[in-house]
Amino acid sequence: MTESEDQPGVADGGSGVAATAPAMEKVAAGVVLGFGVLMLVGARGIALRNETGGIDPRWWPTVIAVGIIASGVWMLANALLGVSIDREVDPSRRRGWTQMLATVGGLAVVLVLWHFGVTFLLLGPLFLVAINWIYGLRKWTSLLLFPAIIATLLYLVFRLLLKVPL
Amino acid sequence: MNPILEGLSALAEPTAILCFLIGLGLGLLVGVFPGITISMAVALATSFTLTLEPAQGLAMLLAIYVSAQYGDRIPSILVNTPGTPAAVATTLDGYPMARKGQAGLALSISAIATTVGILMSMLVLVFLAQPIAAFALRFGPFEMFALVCFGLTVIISIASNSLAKGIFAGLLGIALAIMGLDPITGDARFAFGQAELTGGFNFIALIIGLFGITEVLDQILTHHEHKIRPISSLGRWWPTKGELKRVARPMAQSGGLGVLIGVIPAAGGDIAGLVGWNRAKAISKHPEEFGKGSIEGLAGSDTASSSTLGGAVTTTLSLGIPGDSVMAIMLGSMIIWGIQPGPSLFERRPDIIVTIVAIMLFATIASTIVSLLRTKGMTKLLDLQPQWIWGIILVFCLVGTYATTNNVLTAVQMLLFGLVGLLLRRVGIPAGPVVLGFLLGPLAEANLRRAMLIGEPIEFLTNRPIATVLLALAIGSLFWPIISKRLKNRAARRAPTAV
Repeated sequence: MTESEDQPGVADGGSGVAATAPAMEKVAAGVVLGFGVLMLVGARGIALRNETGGIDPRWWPTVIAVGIIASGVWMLANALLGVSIDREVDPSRRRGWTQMLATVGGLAVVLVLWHFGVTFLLLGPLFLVAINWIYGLRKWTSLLLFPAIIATLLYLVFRLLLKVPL
Repeated sequence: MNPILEGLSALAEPTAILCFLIGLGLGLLVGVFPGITISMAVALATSFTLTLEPAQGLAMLLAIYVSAQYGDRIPSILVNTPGTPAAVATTLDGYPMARKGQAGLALSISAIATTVGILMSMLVLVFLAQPIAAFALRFGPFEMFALVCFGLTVIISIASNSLAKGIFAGLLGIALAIMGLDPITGDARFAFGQAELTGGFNFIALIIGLFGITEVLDQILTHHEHKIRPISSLGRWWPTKGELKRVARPMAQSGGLGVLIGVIPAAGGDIAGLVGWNRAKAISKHPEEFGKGSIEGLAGSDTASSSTLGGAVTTTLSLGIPGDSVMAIMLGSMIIWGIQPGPSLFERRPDIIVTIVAIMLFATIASTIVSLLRTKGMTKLLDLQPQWIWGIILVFCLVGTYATTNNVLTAVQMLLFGLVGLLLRRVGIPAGPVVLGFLLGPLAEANLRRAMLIGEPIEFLTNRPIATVLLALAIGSLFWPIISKRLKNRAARRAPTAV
């Protein structure tokens, strides 16, 4: 891996701990607020078999939705007032984003094919070959031996021993 | 049959012994690999243990929990990287000792300290759990609601630097648990007319997504190729009598502090380890050696961090309030097995308590023996490519989640929770309160609604001192980080003028 490929992502800064990101804080607070409002609307719209009023099945979701809205407002106030809060996460890499998104894409493809009947005993090892390639592992041990060992393990333990219909 | 005999005989079965041995091996491996957390390992193992008998499943999960306390010290000492957060304080003196050619001595002292810590904490479990449970049996719905609030607020205040984000995390967990049927009337909520959604979200998909998938995706995102070669020269292994005498006092005092910290819900080994290290430094005749390879510092930190285990198990079993995130996962498993941890567990299933104590004791003894053997092979494990470990975890997350329902859609749910977890983590919203909210939310709702149907809240506040104290503690624990930060800032502002 070259030096430039391993540079931390712009958004997260370059030190050992990810820098604070005011724009991200505002977006996060907005999403929390939106989620709270949606939940409140959903809670008030819950259909009941018997309308008893008072402490009914709508009451608790409404309380929680109001709590979420309040925490969203609090987060937004913190973001707008520039209250600096350490996120305690490591800085991301540009290449890390590509590899992470490719991994998620790979997982999604595996799930779709699995849902439509392709056996996981084939999908699992192929997924490992693909992600090892993406991570830059090109030796035969990573592309052949390791997936073969995992495939054997999956077959012996899950298919034969635990009878999981993979 | 006698509960003691019944509890022990459940462990004598070959399947239980096999599960115990697998858990022991997995726990040691989990601890050795930095980045694989105990929560992740227990979450993953949970999916495979649900079809087992409770004693068999507990044997695997608790063996992982205990033995990982030993494994996680190895990378702390040999590569200056804690295997799990609980081993952070081990690096302070463990790695400097290893650099001085005393890696073997550091590993054996660490193993002895961990054993002493766990055994000290077991005393809490054995002697305090039942009285606490007996006291909690007097709790009515309002007290139970107040207790759940206290458990949630403590984890919220500890898990996040931002109180607003911590509260949101807890509420999100509760919100996720609302989907499904109302606990009192059985009306469908947020099911959108779909029969499949009335069952609510799958607990296994939630915990494997939040602890497994999120962790791996975050590591892929942030992984840097700057590797420290493990120290391979272990040097002398066994401590001398003089060295054992020197570590006895810090072990006793730091361990005692760790036991107290462990009883507080959600206060885990990472906090206790640092507190224990400070205590050992305060009572040492050679405080100048701390941070430079002090055997007392290592013993103090490791005894304290491991002595939180018994306290965490105690609150989980006697109150139904998980002591840490691993216990939250285990609590979920026990509920799925039909065992409801809480005050009445000691009356209904005393055999399970015996089984749990026995598993923890056997796991401690076995882990001590394995750790005190010269474990040179462990340094080779530290050379394994992290990318291989990511691949193994992802594949096992998929298979593990699928195996719980034999339905691919459960694995889809897990991936979605993993992505949500990654977003939450990058924004600084912790996963611990989400899981705890998901588990405790229905309990809080059912008890609060029952309490409010019985009487007015104000009446409860005046007539129910236990509930009032618990609610006051809940509010206090929520706002204590803010108050203590302000007090520290004020003290810092005054300090220069005083000089």
